[in-house]
Amino acid sequence: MSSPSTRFSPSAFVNRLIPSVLIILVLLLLGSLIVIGLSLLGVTPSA
Amino acid sequence: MTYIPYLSTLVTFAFAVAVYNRYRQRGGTHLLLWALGLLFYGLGTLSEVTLSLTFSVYVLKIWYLTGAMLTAAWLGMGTVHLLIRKGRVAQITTWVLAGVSLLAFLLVITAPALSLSYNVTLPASEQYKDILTRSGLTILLTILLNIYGTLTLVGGAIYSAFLFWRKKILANRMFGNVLIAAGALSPAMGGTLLKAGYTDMLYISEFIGAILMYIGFVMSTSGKTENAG
Repeated sequence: MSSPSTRFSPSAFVNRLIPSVLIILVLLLLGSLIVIGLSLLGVTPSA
Repeated sequence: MTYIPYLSTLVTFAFAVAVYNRYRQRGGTHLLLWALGLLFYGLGTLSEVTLSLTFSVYVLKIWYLTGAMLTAAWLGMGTVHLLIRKGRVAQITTWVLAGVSLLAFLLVITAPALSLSYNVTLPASEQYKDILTRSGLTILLTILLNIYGTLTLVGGAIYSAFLFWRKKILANRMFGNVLIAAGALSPAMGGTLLKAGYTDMLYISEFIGAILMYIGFVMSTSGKTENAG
């Protein structure tokens, strides 16, 4: 799929940072969707 | 705070032109749909600029239609075209979204507006509910379009970043998609805070979102090859 020139070797820090950031983004995404869903139910102060 | 929509508008239209130019050079429906989504984004922030100078009910309707209803959904539609290449899922959902967008346009344009005094020194997000009468269907469509757009745009960028990280390829695209996901979440969270009653967070979240997504796009497209994401 990709040539060797496109590969990279992340440092240990980056290797841990990226999945952590992605997990945080997923949690924020879920949080946003939950609030949007709650507004659909009329639970939030305003929709 | 009133200068923030000016900056957001400049950044967003520059971003839209950059994406459209890339579409002209390389083709790709996803780029065209992203440019369209960014055009809606820019029209929304431009409406905020206009509403900070003078009031027009039509501008308020354009602000609601583009900013609150269409932007996220059409940006997310671009991501669907990028990630789902097999079958006709992307084409069919695009036509469905086009129909829903037309319905949204008709609902907003024909929505009754109360002629209350509008304060140009306050954000439109703080006042629109007192002026624009939205039907239950309009509110439902707004919420569904935002759920669809946020899920596809943010989820797609997170998924792409994860693939690049797992395969350890195209670091620029991996970091670019992280920024695009964070940038797309910013106005989504601003809209969420708006629904939760925090009306003054929307403008700053739109600006941060436009900046992060633009940087993410530049990073993602500055690499050597174009495989995915």
